Amino acid sequence: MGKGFDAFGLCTLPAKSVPSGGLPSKGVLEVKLKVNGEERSVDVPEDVPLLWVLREELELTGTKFGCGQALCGACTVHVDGKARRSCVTAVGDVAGKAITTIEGLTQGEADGKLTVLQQAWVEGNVPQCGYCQPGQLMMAAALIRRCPKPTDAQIDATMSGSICRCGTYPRIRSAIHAATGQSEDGGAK
Amino acid sequence: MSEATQDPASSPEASKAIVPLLRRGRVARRRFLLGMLAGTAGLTIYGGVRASADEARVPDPNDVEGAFRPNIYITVTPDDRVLYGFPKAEMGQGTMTGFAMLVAEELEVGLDELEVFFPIASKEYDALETATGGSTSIVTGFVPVRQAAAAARMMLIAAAAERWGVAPDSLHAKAGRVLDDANDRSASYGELVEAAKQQRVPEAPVIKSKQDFKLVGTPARRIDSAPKVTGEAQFGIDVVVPNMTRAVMIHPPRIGAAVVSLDDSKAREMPGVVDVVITPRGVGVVAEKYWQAMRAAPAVEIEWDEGTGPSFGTENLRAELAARTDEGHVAEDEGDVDAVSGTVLEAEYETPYLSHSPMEPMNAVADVRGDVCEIWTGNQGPSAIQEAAANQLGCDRIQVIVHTPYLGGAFGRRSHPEAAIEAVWLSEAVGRPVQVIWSRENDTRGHRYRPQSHNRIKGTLDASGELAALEFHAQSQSIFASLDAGGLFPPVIPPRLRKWLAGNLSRLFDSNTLLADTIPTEGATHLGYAIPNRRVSYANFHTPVVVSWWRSVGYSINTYVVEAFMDELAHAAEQDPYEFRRAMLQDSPRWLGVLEAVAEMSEWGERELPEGVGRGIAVCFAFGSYCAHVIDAHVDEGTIVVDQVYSALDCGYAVNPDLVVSQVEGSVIFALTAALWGEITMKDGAVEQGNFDTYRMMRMHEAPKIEVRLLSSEEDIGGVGEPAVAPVAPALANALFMATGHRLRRLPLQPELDRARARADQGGK
Ligand code: FES
Ligand code: FES
Repeated sequence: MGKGFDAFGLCTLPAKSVPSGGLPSKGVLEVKLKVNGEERSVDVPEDVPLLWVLREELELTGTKFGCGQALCGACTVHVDGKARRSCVTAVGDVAGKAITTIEGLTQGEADGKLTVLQQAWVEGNVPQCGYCQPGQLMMAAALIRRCPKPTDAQIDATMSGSICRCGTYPRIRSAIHAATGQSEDGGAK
Repeated sequence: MSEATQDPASSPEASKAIVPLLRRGRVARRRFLLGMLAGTAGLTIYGGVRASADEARVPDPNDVEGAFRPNIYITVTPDDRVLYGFPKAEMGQGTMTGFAMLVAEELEVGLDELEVFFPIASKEYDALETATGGSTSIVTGFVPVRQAAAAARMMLIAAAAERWGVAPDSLHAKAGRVLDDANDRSASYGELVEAAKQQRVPEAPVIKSKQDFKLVGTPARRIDSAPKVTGEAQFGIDVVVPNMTRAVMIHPPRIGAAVVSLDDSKAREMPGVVDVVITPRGVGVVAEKYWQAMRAAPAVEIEWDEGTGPSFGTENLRAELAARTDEGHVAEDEGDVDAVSGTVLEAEYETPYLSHSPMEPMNAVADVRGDVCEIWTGNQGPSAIQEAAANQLGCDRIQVIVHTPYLGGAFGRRSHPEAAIEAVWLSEAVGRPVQVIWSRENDTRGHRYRPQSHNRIKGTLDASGELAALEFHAQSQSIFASLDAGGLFPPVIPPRLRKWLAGNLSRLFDSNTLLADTIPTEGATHLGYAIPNRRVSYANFHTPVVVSWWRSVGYSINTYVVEAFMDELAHAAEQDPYEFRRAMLQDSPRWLGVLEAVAEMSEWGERELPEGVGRGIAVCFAFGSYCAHVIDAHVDEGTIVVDQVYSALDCGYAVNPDLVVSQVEGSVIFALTAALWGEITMKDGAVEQGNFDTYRMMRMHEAPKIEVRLLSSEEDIGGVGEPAVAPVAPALANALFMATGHRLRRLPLQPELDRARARADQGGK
């Protein structure tokens, strides 16, 4: 973890287009992205972390910066349906792939409706400060897609990558169980 | 200011040079009246940050055509919108929902109908008490918030009474309408707005008694959940204002280090870089985009001086404190501790520096333009930021406008304005709005830590095994004396005056004559235990480290010391730790209440624990509330595993019991992180921790089951955000004693247990 990234979380992968000591304009490429079902294109070097492309180039600020080194999960998005830490994902690596951010999580729901997971979060009073919650929800959404009725052990295995400084873990667990129609301990309801 | 050779050691002059004085009094009044009312209906929570572009600005509530505004909090519009300006910070503690419930209750509108927005700190809201901290919001707001809403309700009813020619007390309000049941008619609030404006504002608005509450006291849903699960909620870091630049701060690598020389030539050539600016707190690399600033920052070559504490280290400090015998000042003196004899037990306890580490790293946007300074930042005290920025700019405080969006956690850290001040400096330097975002490493190394401390405690058990005397002596760094650092007494104050202020602040809080500093001993004084002879004292010390309020503050240190030591005393007296405490709490019913509650919940003494599991108990009174925990824990191949926590809290009255429970759960996990691993260490003036790999946080799989019981005592309301933090470390330490036989007198517990086990191995145990 953290390998290939400097202290600022900047991706320093040996990208071919980026000679050391600065970025000539040819390093800036048009990268075509598919974000929340929409085709977007950005003019950035390929090795810019996806997190900052989402937040700054596309103004999708629901995806959060917490550590920049794949340590906290705040920046989690889906790439082709799988959870990825956008702070350590070079934008060039996900060109053309389907990226879903928290803003796109409700896609497929009727207008203005939340997903069952988000609804369970609201009903369970899960968020406190809320800063980690987009990342938590993206992790949880990826989990239940893979594993529709996760056990506590499966929840632990997936969700332990996402830090919540406010300590909402017990409620996240309950909300995942509630959203997947299970009782508190993970058994069938 | 961007010259490589500028010496920031001369920061007072330097900042004057980069920060021309704003012209006083030239700020157009309109500016200050720009409020944050949502211009369109349907937006329930107005996070409002993006609306900062002038054209997107919405008018001041005063200017909403025909609105009724009995006070600065409540606005009713002719089209039936009811708005509430929530004057505190929402940092997760749920006060926004709590206050909205109080307003909805008294104003007789649905919680969902209320549009809650964050007022900006500007002239209109200047008189507001907007600082958020000390678990005080609900405590101090419980009556006034309801009065503000009740005033509106009474005036709307009076307006209807006037219209219909009936007595006001024949009418009542319900669901946003005034009803005349006798005559079967009603009017919506919006319809009554014009007439309500003509009514007298009641001097003493009539608020409901608790029995009449319909909403308050229920486990209502948080009003901020929906925007927080969709990514819509705007935090400081999400603020975007037109023409904004972004900056990485390169902070000094050692305490107080200043730039000696700097070569920014490479960085300046990199794409998007706008400027490289030396500030009194390090170097700001300003670019069009944050990712550009991030790539340029490593290209800036900086030589730093040795700073203000080149040889400072936390290990040295430990040794110094252990050797120090300063008597200090007495905070509590009852009976005569010296006249007691019996079995004497003495111990020394230590706690480390701790970082708050909210999930949202510190950040701020500042736009210094003409004679206005506008700041957007998650903060616990807009006035402090106004003050600090005004000091920097040499302008009136009122020329500084502070927007407070959602806070991505704070825990005390966002009481301090460093990031905002950095943004002010940079914006002034580049002439554009600047957003400063600290890296996680900036945040962890950014100082403002909970103080490191060393405590001595001594108890005397009489012949019957009762605690006859308790002596407690804290050595801790004064938070108040530390306040001068980092911007509150900023460099524009002439150095000599600044020094004087700093020097005198320390003395004020040291002398115990002018201002008593209660923080170093809180949690050790006012104990509920019947101990006839008690002496509590403290001696402050100074270091180059800047210290701060950290969730539960002095209690987080002293409750650990007192309650872990109670366990030592109980064992020395050969008594059960619960019964030992219980016997001493017979005259402290609320202490006793929470203690007995956790004993009952955990079936204390009645249930056999699994092999290897230890169980500990601790109790405290903090921030007006009473809290006890029982913690079960075991050690698995050297690793501490926390199995279960039983918690009881008596906060007198819970405005929203479910949110109180969530605060207890969160406090327990926050406190377990600190108790198990939390430690900021320094060597040669440099902080050794950086990101979450070296400053570890509790994660989902490590979090125990937590069972919470709220006790309702119908007494005064107490705080809920902090009290449950305090008894966690001692309850866990006590559980680990039972599980392992090791007394852990130094936090954090995991490395202390490792050391104890290593010592035991060496001793051939
Ligand atoms: S910001 Fe990406 S994992 Fe923390
Ligand atoms: S809700 Fe605050 S960090 Fe998770």
